Amino acid sequence: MYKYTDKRFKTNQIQVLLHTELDELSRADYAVTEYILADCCKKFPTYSELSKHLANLYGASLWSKTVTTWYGKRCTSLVASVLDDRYALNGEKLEDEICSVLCECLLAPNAENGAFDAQITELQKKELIDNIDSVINEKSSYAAQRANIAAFRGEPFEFPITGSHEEAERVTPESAYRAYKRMLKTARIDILCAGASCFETAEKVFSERLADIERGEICKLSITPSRLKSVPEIFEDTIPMQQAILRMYFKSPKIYDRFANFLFASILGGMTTSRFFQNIREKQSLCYYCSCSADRALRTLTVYAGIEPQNIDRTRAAILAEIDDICQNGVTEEEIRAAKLEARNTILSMNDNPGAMITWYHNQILDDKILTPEECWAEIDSVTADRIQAAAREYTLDTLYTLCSLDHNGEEDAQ
Amino acid sequence: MIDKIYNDIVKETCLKYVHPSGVRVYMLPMAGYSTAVAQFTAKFGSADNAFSVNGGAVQKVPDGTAHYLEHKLFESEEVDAFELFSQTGAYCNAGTSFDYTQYYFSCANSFDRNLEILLDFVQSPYFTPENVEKERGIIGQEITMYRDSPGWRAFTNMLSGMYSVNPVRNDIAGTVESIADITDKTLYDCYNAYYNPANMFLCVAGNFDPDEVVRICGEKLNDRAPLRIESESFDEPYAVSAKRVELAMPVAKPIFEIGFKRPALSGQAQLEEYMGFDILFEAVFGRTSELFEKLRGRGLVNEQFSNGVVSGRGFFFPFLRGESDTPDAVLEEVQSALRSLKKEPPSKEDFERIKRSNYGSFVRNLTDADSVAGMLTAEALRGGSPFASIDAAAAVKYEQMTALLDGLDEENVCISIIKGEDE
Repeated sequence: MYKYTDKRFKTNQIQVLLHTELDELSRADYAVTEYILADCCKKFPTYSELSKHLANLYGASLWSKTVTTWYGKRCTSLVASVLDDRYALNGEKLEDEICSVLCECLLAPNAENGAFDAQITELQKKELIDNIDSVINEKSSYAAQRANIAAFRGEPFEFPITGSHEEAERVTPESAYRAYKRMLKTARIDILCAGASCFETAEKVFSERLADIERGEICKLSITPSRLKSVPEIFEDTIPMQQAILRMYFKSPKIYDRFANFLFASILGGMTTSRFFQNIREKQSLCYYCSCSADRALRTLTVYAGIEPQNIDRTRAAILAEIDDICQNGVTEEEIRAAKLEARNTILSMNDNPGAMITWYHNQILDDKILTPEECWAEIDSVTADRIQAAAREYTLDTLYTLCSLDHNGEEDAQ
Repeated sequence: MIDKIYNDIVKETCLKYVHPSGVRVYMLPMAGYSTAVAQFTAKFGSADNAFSVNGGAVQKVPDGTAHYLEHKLFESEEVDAFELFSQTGAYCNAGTSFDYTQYYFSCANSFDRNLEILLDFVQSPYFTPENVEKERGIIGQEITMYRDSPGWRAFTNMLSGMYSVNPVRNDIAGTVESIADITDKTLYDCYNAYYNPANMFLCVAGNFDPDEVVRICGEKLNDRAPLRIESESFDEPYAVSAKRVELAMPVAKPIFEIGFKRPALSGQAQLEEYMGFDILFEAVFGRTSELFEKLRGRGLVNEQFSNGVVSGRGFFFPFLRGESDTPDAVLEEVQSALRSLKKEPPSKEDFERIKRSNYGSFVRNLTDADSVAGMLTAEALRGGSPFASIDAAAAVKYEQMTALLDGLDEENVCISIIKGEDE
């Protein structure tokens, strides 16, 4: 259990993380399980009853999420956020109660005889299918999902963690329950708490309730960088849309300077004075947005841009030219200064939000040394221009993806 | 002189100061925080597309002008605002709504310098034929990006269905065609009218020294004679313009927005009605409601089903949104439920539970500087006390909610549907 206490906060956030193997054949089963756990439990057998109880706890919220972590495992989280006990109008023990509700949802779901409740499973299955299918509604998410297939082929990030529409169709109350039991048995469980409380109550509740879980071989976490293809893969999709989306993946699998990469991505396309923003958007007017981000575990730099279809080639060339310029000529002291100041602003702001602090520590769960935001900032502040140039030179283009419409006339009218 | 406004519910104090130019300044220091946020707002939005100054002739401007102006204000003859903020590391941005435009920054250091930059650039327009022309392509691409978003299209189509003449029926950014007519003169005309200090306010929250804010405002805010700006009034009919609007786009499942057209309100009346509808819609359609359980159980809606209230200068409407294979059937169920509830309204227990939950939301929102500054701005726009929403949420009565239910015309709605292209 990791605890971050600061009396400035008015709330407490508690997150139970269950890390398991990806278990690729059961992705949809795990996804339905995750939905069921945040929806109801034996004590609150319908969503409405659970929601009413949370509303009575001054609008406490409880939700679940599953991601493919940067270390290539499934991470299912049950998260609760509640007011600090100081703000309960009638002296209610909110932390105690929300921890109990979390444990009820996690350990006593609505199930019997080796299966989740059939009606609830069916409902959650439909919602999972809706969520899987609805990725098309957000074009940038759709582009990311499609591009990842090529960029991370054969790796954990290739497919969405929720599974496919077809996999979701095959979920049964029994198969989802089996996934749930496997998860409890094999998960590495971390509990992260941040807020005004010192979380003694949370510690007591969780240590009592989690003590009796039957455990097996526990999932081990490790970092695996993404593989670099010998030849860049070019991949294109077309759907009816007006704007085109470009995604480019660069990989640096051998050497990776985490702090230099942070600044490199920032200078290249992470801020409003970045090369991409200033040169590609402002000077050349090639796009509305052109940004990038660096993933330190995958050792991948991802560039994304929303552009007019006729500007795809010019934008791609402009992006490559900016990267090449940094490789050849490095970055200026002014750029480094701006990127460091922006990094300081972003990193120190983490201290002001319990949810951000949980994410901050979760992102370091595998690091030998856990850094506070201040320590991380000091590391970034020590980065030199040479280290940034060296980081840029390590990257090689791996995947190039475009999503656009070839034949759409770009106009339609509401009736 | 600085007024101190204390709120006993959330136990916070807001400082209010009016600069001689007329700019109102609201400050809420948050002890121990790393960040500070400042929002500088002009009461000029996309709906202000025709106006007069000091009783003069009405000037019409193209749709999308407020948003265009927002983009261009960052530019300067020498160093643009983004570059200046990059010298301090602050995050800065801006946003245009129907009835206001806001410029803001958040920072963990150099607050005083950032505030100087903010006040300077918002008060230093630099529009030329060349730089206005250069921006047209970027804004055109932004418009195109939003046209690919089914959620945004559902919302804007609902507005154009609900309203006949109210300019909120037009997209905030305008269209590629409408922005073609915007010139540097258009932008200067709007700037000189609406960016008058008496039409602006500044809200600050987080880690800062209020005395320094007052000092910087004293140095940086321009004194300009107050103007009487009147946005053109319009006679919006009671009834919705269209009851149903439909558009085909690539979506997995049809999405919908249902808007309940209501007369526009202002000030305290708007706030009280907002709070009443907030609770009413949560009680009737929210996560704890029987109707949500029923519709979800029958597969008519999924977890995306949500409700809310939108209000501003000249518009007010509660709404529902979600995904459904049969949006028209959802509307029928909603209308039928409202008719039944008029005979048997949500219980007092339901009301109290949601009211309590809303209290929790308000306290939670006061945890970060962004939310606090946002609350101050919302209240300043409405023209009331900085804690007016919190007070109104605490004071709302069961009878207020049932009266709104009685007066709600469930037939005066517009449903906007985005359906799949092959349906």
